[in-house]
Amino acid sequence: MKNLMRYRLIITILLLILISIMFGCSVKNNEPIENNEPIENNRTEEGTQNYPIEITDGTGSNITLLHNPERIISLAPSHTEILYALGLGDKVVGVTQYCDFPEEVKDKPKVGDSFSIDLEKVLELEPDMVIQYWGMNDELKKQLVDADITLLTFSPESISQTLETIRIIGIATGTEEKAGEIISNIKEKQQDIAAKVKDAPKVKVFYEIEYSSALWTAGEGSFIDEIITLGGGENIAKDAEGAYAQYSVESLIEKDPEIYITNTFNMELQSYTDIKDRPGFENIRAVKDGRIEILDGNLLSRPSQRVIEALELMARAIHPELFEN
Amino acid sequence: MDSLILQKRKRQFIYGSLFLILFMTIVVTATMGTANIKVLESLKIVIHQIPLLGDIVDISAVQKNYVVIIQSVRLPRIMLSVLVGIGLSISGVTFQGMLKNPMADPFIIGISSGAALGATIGIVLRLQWAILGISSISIFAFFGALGTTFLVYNLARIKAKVPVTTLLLAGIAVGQFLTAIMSFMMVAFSGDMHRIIFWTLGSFSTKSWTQVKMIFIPVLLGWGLLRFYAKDLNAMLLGEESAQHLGIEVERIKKILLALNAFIVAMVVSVSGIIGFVGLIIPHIVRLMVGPDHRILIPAAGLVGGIFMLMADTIARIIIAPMEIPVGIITALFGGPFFIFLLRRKKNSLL
Repeated sequence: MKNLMRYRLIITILLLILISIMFGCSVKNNEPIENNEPIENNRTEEGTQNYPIEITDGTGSNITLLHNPERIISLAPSHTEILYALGLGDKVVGVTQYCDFPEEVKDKPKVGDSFSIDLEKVLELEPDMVIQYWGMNDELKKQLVDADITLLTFSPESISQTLETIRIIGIATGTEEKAGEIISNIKEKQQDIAAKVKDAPKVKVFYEIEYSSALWTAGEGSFIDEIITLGGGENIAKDAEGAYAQYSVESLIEKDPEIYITNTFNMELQSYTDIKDRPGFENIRAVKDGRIEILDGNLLSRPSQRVIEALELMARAIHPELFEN
Repeated sequence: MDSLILQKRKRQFIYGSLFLILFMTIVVTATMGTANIKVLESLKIVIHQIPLLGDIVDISAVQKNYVVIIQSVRLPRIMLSVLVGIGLSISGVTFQGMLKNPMADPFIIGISSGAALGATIGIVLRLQWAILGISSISIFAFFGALGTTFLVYNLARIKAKVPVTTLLLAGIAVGQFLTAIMSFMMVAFSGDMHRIIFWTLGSFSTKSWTQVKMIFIPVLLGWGLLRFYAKDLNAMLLGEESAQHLGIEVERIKKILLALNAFIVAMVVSVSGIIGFVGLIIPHIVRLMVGPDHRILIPAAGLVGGIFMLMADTIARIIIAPMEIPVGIITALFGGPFFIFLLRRKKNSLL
């Protein structure tokens, strides 16, 4: 019996040690983030910024920035494009493996992609700001916060949301003026296009995201739907909702679009003629008239300053006669 | 003698009424869809499609659009879902009988994982060729399914015998392993992830007469062959030793049934993706209705499976028109509660 008592005592002591180790490890992370650093009064080249500033990111969270970010990591190709457009290329220290615009980006260190972020790499690069598109899980978020890295989240899905994103990133990085330039440039071109297509008859358009095991289109409220409408077209799939909607082939054939649009990513798997061979498609106006347009998939999926190029591309595909130049 | 004649009458009645229901369902669902085609017009178009009768009906007045929709989009989809329903239920019945396991379904020996992995490889490789109109993805899925069966069979057999438990376990192990590889590939080629997921969800959406022609003969032929072995299956239900003593060559039958089923399921999965639930539940529902005799069960389960799959697909394509729901969701949503309802009725009648 004495042996049993000793055994139990040892186990209890070991457990207590184990528990206190676990406690000890978690206590370390409860230090306050805002400590008594002197607040730097940082003026950028444009001389318009006064830190600390408070901004609201895409998720509605209020974020305080203590100083001008010098080392920025972007976790989305579109955000990378925005950063470069704002002239912050030199400050970008890490991007995802899918970032490919502009060309220089390909030489930057890669930290993963939208689904899996290499946290070690991120921390190794010592950024002071990380800009993401989709929210990462809470664990990762916490690690960034603990390392004093500012995390901004923007998920723009329309032109206006994209412009707002550019504007706020501009404020956050002290490049407000450049951001303003970009935004008014885009708005001007948008108005140009609107004026051109205003009086033209609305063309019935169908956009195919994919046709493999099912037909997928972009319905009401999606970016594609927006640029079709702004480009002077009528998206026949308006009665579907969301950016990714499985659509009925019967409806497509019944609604008989005049133009059939898809993108280069999709077409990788098939050729142009395959569309005509699909069951029922031979009867669609767009197919009979040869009005099948294949647009650059990259442009259509980057909510960055290039949204205006996406809009132009779409408008040109829908109303080629209005854009002869 | 009387009871035998009664039995035959009863069987004929069951087959007859089921066949009639199937036929009516086909006709009715041919008039349903997102396109606004009047019932009479759709009936005309359907009849026109039938080889000899067709010429009686004149459809020159019907909008060309509508003719195309029904002939090229709706009808092939209807016929395909019936064939897939038949294939999945008859293989569910035979697997449940052969493995003496009520939880068995057509995918139990890892066939679905093999097919999914095959399709994943096909999607990722982005091969552009198609043989006779059948895409490379379907072909890869087909061989993935067959290859997995072959692998599982060889893992489980001891010389010439295939113990049932080992077969099941090997199937589970191989299935998990292949699914793991598929998941890895999904992450490694994350750009194709959504395409892979869509494939596995299963759909009859973009299918044409090509797919129907492809599985028509294999499914119907397989159906006939499985029915041929119904008596042996009945005997095997008593236990393998008892069956052996009754003169059934158990191991040979097991091999044949395994090969037949694998072939049918591989065909079905390669055209429609992985549609669960049908192969598991329909055999039980039909067993509650007609009893466990495989001679009746195999034909009846096939017919009921065809009807069920057709109804499920029709719901999938019209319930949130013009958008569609993946048909596997419908089969699960409706199959489960309906089976519970039948079970309770049976329980009450036993009291």
